[in-house]
Amino acid sequence: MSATDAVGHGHARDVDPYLLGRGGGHGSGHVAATGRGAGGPASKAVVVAYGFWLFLLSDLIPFSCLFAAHAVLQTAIADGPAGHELFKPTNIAIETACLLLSSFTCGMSAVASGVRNLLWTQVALLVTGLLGVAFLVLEAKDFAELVKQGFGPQRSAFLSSFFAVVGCHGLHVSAGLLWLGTMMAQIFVKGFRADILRRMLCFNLFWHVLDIIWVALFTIVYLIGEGR
Amino acid sequence: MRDETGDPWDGRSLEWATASPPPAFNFAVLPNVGGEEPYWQIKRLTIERQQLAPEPTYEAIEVPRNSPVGFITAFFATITGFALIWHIWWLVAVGVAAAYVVFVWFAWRDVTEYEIPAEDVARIDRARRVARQQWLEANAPAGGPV
Repeated sequence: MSATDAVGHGHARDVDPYLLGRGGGHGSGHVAATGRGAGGPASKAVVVAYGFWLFLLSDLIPFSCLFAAHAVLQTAIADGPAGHELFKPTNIAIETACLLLSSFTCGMSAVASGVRNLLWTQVALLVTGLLGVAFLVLEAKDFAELVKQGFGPQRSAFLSSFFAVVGCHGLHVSAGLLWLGTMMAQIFVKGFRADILRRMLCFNLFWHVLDIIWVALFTIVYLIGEGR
Repeated sequence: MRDETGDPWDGRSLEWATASPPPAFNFAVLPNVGGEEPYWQIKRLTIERQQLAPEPTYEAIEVPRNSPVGFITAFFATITGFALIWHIWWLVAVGVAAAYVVFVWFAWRDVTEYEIPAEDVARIDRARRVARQQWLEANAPAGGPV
């Protein structure tokens, strides 16, 4: 009620209460924008990042299904091993540290590219990549060991959903690393062109979202799984 | 029954303000929106005055270039999926590598957009205006100005 009043207050119907109009300014970009169309059409960087957020959100939907499946199947161990018998907290702590640190260095690469510093952008991206590789190697070793012990995805519903959700995240990190390598090459060859910078922005979003997924994964698969 | 105006159902909102199928640039000029049903307002005004709004100044419009990359990547993704299902591991590697090569090829492009010249925009939009004008004359109130 009060919200409706606040929006409609003092405006006749034809005065455009939601400020859909472009406020008289023509193409002044997003600098003056209030989020209600006042500054004219948004800049290309805003449009690209918005579109990429749509992709990321749609990418989260399969993850939410895998999380839900794992939450339900966590105790369906079919007389096989349960989570607390398999997980090695030290390994998982190191993997988590790698990924969280890589998110930090990824953020540093965004800062460095913001001030057009080629060297530090590349260094930050390289460190991000190395931490990502370290994460993947540790995860692959964990997986290989489980399979060797006979606890592969075919052992129980719990392990099926475990490999599905953790493996899906691992595949995303692998794809992210391929992108990262391509990104470094593009920056090296083409420099800080506007379209390259937009891709950097998207890559940063992607990498941070992978981190967010890992935090959820850590909580649901490892923390809660340890206690069940 | 063929519709030339792009607005067969007398729509109220802006998606009906262009031709159907829409041209590559979608809208010839950015409309100045003054309310929730902008196209309705534009048409009401047009009918009242029995004439179209004055012709806008057409400018060149930048649009994204077409690209076959999505199709090619989907092709290799299908190959990869097929190979995964039938455990043909070498083909999995080929599919993934090929998809990655296509991705790099796409990422390496330098020209992402092309410009539709102002004359082309004007020519295409004038055709739509002609259709609107004919609609206006065909639906003029009896005895009213045409």
